[in-house]
Amino acid sequence: MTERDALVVRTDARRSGDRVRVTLTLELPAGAHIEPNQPAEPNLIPTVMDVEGLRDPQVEYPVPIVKDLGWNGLTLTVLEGKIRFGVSGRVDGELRTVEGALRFQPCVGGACLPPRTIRWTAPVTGRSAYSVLHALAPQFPSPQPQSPQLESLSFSPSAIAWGSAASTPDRSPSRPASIGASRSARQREHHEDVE
Amino acid sequence: MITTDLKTYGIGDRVEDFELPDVDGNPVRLSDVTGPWTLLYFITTWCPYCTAEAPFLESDLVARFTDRGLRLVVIDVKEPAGVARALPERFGWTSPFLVDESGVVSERFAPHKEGLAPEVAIINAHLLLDQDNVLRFAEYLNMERFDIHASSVGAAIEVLIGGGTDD
Repeated sequence: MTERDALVVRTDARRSGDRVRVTLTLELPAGAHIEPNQPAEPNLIPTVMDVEGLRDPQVEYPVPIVKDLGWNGLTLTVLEGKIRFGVSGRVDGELRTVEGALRFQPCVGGACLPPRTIRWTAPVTGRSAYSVLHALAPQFPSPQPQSPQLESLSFSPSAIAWGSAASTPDRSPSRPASIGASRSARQREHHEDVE
Repeated sequence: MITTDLKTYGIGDRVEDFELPDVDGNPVRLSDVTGPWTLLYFITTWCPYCTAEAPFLESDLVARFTDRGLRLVVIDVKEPAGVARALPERFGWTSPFLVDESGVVSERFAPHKEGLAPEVAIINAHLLLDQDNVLRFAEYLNMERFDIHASSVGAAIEVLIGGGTDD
């Protein structure tokens, strides 16, 4: 199990006057992809960012890459690897955090997984922060951050988890909260400042 | 709990009868809705491959073989009926539509795919049962050669049904 098997979210929120800009980076494991905000095919599920706490919020969606996935000969556009979203807007008075949600459907290993929503919180500190979320797929061991330094994260090979307060599959209430994982091994949202 | 002790079905296996509710909660047994040939199709509302294929499933693929005894049974995997009912309504299906909210039935048909849970691996699968409920053909989702018309499934059914029942 490596970091590449986990969903990783990093946020960076900076304020200038009454404007706040947040950069949210979602890192997907190798071989995984999600759809852009405007998929090339109507049945594909778009990636959608919701923002709370900002006036007139604007979302800059990343530009997808073109990929031949064999969908009836159609060339599709996808997002993969390190995916950056930009969020900006105005604030009134003091603002400590910007919050939001990112909804997307990951596809990996020859299938698409249930759509999920990641709740994110970006402290407006002028410093970067990151959240290590649980595994991309329920079979992947859950990442276990053991150090505040992202570069030195290691993961427990025994934990298997699905669902957390920070990231939940959509519209699948019957899905178990965890499979074969002890409570202590379940992944929780983890925020740490990274200089 | 990981249910790895349950045997999954392979080609040539006889599928045990099971009971699942329809979207209105009425219990339906597989044996009540099968025909001389039965195509089981596994679906979820969030499967883009399924919703792309769905408009052609009953009216094209299955309709070509209805006069030769093919019936369609659709099984929604791990969604509540209130969510699943959108599918038959959207696509106008008249075939039996069963809701496997726990996923326990569907898992027994799932192939082993590295890194995928059974309830995910089974989605978009086409399984053909004969009149004795023996699994005669199975095709699982392959993203690299996805075909909304499921041409390879149609070709396989043509061979099996066209050749007559050899039981």
